Amino acid sequence: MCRGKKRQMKNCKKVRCFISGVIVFLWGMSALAGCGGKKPYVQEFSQKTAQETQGIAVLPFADRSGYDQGGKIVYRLVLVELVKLCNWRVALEGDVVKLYRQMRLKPWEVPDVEQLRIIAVRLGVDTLIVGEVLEMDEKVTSSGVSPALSIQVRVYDGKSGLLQWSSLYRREGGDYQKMMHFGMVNTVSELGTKMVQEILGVWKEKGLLSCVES
Amino acid sequence: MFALSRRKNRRKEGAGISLLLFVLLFVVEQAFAVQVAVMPVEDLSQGDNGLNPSMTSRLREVLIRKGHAVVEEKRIIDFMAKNRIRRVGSLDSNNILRLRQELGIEYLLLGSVNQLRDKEPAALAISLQIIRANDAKMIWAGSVHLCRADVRKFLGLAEPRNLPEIEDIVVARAMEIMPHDLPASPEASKGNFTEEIHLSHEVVKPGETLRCRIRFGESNVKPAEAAVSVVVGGKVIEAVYLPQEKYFEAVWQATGKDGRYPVSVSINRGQQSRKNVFAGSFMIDGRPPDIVLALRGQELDGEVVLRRQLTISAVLKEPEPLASWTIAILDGSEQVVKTESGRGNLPGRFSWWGQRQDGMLAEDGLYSVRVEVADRAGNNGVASEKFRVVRKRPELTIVTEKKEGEIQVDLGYDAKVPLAFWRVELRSGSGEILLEKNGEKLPVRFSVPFGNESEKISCRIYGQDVLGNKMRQIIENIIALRPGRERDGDQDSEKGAEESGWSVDF
Repeated sequence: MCRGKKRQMKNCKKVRCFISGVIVFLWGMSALAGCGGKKPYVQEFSQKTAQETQGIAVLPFADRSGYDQGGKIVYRLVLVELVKLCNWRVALEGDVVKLYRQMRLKPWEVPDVEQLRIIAVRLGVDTLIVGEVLEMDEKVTSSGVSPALSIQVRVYDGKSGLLQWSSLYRREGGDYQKMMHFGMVNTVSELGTKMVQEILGVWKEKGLLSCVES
Repeated sequence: MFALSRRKNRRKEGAGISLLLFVLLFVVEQAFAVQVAVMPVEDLSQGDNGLNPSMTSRLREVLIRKGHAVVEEKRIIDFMAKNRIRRVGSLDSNNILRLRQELGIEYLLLGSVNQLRDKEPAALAISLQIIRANDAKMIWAGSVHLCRADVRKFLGLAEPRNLPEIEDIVVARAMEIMPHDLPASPEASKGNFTEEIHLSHEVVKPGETLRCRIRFGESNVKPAEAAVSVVVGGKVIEAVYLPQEKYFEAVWQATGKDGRYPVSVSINRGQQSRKNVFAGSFMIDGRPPDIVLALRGQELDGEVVLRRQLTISAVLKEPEPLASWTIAILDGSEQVVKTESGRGNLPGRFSWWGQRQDGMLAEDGLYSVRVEVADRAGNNGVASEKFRVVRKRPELTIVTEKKEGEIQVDLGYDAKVPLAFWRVELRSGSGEILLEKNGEKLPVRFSVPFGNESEKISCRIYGQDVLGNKMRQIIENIIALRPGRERDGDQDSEKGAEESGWSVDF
């Protein structure tokens, strides 16, 4: 009887050790995989209109990073991810640039409320995305590449020209590292793609961007 | 023998038929294949509007391999030259429609090389857009990026070694993600193409002429069938079609009170559609800008005086954006001594260090500063303020008189600018201080004893006026001075025996 109890106790200890080992392993893995990763910061400024987004125009991104063509790189990535996300009408870059030229607007300037309204009407869209590249860097070291990107994206209502919500997000290539070299992001383009996907994902999750199916 | 030749003939016939069928199939496939235009690929790694011909031709190959009929590169280049399309990487809706009409394309591929790193680890990133030509809608977009560091394989086997190999992988991945079927879209949609609307002058004076020009993007819409009007503050102005210029133009006079007026364009295409477009607004401004000019410097008898620097600040009573400004410094005879001008708003302040346009210092005297501004409507505002330049050092006069074994010194000053202080030191030939005096007011008289004519008494005079102009005068021997004669700085310089050191700062 007594021996049986001792055996049971031993077995219990073994099971406990095994479970705690598994927990420690899973915790370690999750930490390595970056499960507790950051999410893009979203600040809402005005009540979202009930209507579904029909058309979106992405206005030229201002580049404050000093990275050559940094604004244009992120701009094109945002266009790609928007088209991938939903079947809405995304205004062509050529139309936006042409309108900026007509209105004598500089690409690095944020248009005022009236100008935003004009842009929305002329492009036939109801949502305007304005962005800024705050930091874009790609350090090539002996151990690899370390890209860093910080962007701010603001969404304006085309009808009123008012700011609806804004997102600020900064990430580095190493943030996506899972284990060893796996998951490591080595280019600003890939980092930008991932970040834009995450930003759009959060917007969709919060119900800020609603998709219209056609 | 006969049977053999018949069999040979049958074989020949069979080969001929299969060749014919193959050609027929090829012709049919080409005839029904979707026409795609591959626009020159922009290369952002080469700066603004850079071109990547190699990626352009590789993407063309990808589309051909997918079974699409790709428009010849020369035709695309000719189209771009004809329509003055100077930028690559993007195309506006109107040009897309033109491309469709002129080259018969149904889709176009716009690509851009977002990143191209030749150095180790080599990297390449591209983004692609497929646009449906009949409604200028982006139907697909994708991006591919690859860095050599992304591809790590066992023992480094089959890893890309250089940029061309990375390019191969990127193009292959692009081919994988690109849609296989691009459905033919024969019907031209009544898409939402952007009209070109130019509203001339954002800000005007009352009575000035305003113009609004509307050019249709769609070349398939006959302007004669459309009625275009401009609505300004509830007033409808009909726009006239100018066939040579190929646009509608509405012309009207700016009447009414000062303020902002919204402008909208109404386009009526009869049965087709009716559209109201907010074109913007213009502002009537008939009031010239009112400038407040403030000069900051030293003051003397209620007058601003420049000794070293004059700070001029010009602000508008009612702030408004300006088109240009001019600041000028004029001398007493209204001649411009120094001028500066610029576009846009006035700088926060101006500083004048008393230098003329040629870099020389302006002479003492009465001057004025004039600031002229023009607002966006062309209304001019002027403001002017007077000031004085006083940089002359204070000149003290010395009169000596020998009386009964002592020398009497009269120190005087009769300039307009009051003295802040003065100081006199009289020293014997051995350097012993015989007398030291200082004060704020002049004239003053003092005397020191002296033994004989061969004795040497040096005199040092320091002074500063209220503006800060300083003087220092050293007379090596005042006994040698002729009695009753006034001495000042200029006279000192005539005599070599005396040191005359004038200095602005000491």
